Amino acid sequence: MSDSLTHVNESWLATLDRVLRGCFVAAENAPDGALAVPLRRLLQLGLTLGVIAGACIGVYALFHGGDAPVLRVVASAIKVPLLFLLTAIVTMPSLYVFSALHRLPVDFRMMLRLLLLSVLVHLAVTASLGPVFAFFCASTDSYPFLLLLNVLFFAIGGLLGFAVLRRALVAVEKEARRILTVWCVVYAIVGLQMGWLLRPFLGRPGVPFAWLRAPEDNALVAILRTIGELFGA
Amino acid sequence: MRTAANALLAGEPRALPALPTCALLGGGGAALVGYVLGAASGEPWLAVFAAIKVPLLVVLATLLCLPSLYVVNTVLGLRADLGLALRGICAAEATLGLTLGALAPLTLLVSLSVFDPYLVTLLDGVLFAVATFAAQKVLARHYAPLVARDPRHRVALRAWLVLFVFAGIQMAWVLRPFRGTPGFPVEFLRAEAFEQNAYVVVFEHFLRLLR
Repeated sequence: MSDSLTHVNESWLATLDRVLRGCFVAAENAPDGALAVPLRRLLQLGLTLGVIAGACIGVYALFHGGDAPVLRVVASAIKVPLLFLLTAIVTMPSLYVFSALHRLPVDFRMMLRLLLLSVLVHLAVTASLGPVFAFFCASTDSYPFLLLLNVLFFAIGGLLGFAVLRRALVAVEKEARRILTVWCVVYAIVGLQMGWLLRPFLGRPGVPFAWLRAPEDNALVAILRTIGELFGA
Repeated sequence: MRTAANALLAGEPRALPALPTCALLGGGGAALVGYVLGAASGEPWLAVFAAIKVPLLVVLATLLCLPSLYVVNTVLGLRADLGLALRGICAAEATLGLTLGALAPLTLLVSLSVFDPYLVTLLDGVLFAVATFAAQKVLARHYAPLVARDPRHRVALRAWLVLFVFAGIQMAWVLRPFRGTPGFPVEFLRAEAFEQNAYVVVFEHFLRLLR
């Protein structure tokens, strides 16, 4: 317990390992307000994992041609960390207000750390699935299949991140978990839509490279359309 | 500021931050959401107008209902507690603004993601409803000791919510546009601001939907 507070000089992998094991959010560390996580270390880790996850998605361009394949990989590697950062910025204030409104025993800074920890789990899972995704990129022709696989991998990461956050607040009363569940739904919708706004990540074959595309439709419509594309025409 | 926000949202009557702090938290949040709403039009002046009008909406709707609060409390024989009730309402309005501000990033995302103007209006309605819910929760906390002392306070509490929402909706209609409509001139108030009634307009929309 207390030794988890002192490992400042440990390797990145060791910190990540402890994040994934849920050491930082263990019940005995969480409720006293001071969540002992080196914030800078977490940010660096998150950035690295995001770049890895993004690059694995961008690999699609290397196998499926199109203009500026390297630039597409770079763009994805930049946009995945950005996606998580922007989603956190959008959802954080409302989470704070509603948890303060319900008098949850967590203050803003602790909330930020908890959120960062769960985002880190999310990123770690997604990045760890990155090689699998890259393999599918190399061996699959179907663009809609890869698009949906990408969404699925992000969703799996999100669910595991949510599980960690839930475990962290398990000591707190039922009300807290209810807010958290509602908030996670909001977070998922915002994340999905943010991903849609920051598209392209894969880049549809034949469409010229762009850092961003003009806003149109929304993520849910796009996913339904992609499912239709996969099974239909 | 963060401690003040915590104290405000916790709704502990004795720990209510000073009035200027409440005004800053609530006014700042309301102005922020106003700016985001107005900025969705792409017109810089509309954003500035809306940033003024959302706090104005909260303040004017509150002022409009204060005389009735006084009368209701007097009629119910609760005049002695009016000061505490007013403190609660002050906290509630600050919470309303603060919650609106916290939802401003989500509002921005809605602006970038939803293109159906009716759905946008509906979601803006949800935005204000959520903030009003938060405000009423804080108000109920301030009222808890009062209600414990005299159950008639519960009537006053509910009357406030009904009247405030009723007046607030019409006030929002008078103060429109917030988001602005393409093709309409950029102005602080519409020329016909005081001519229509929000409820009649909504009713007419429903009728058109059924036809």
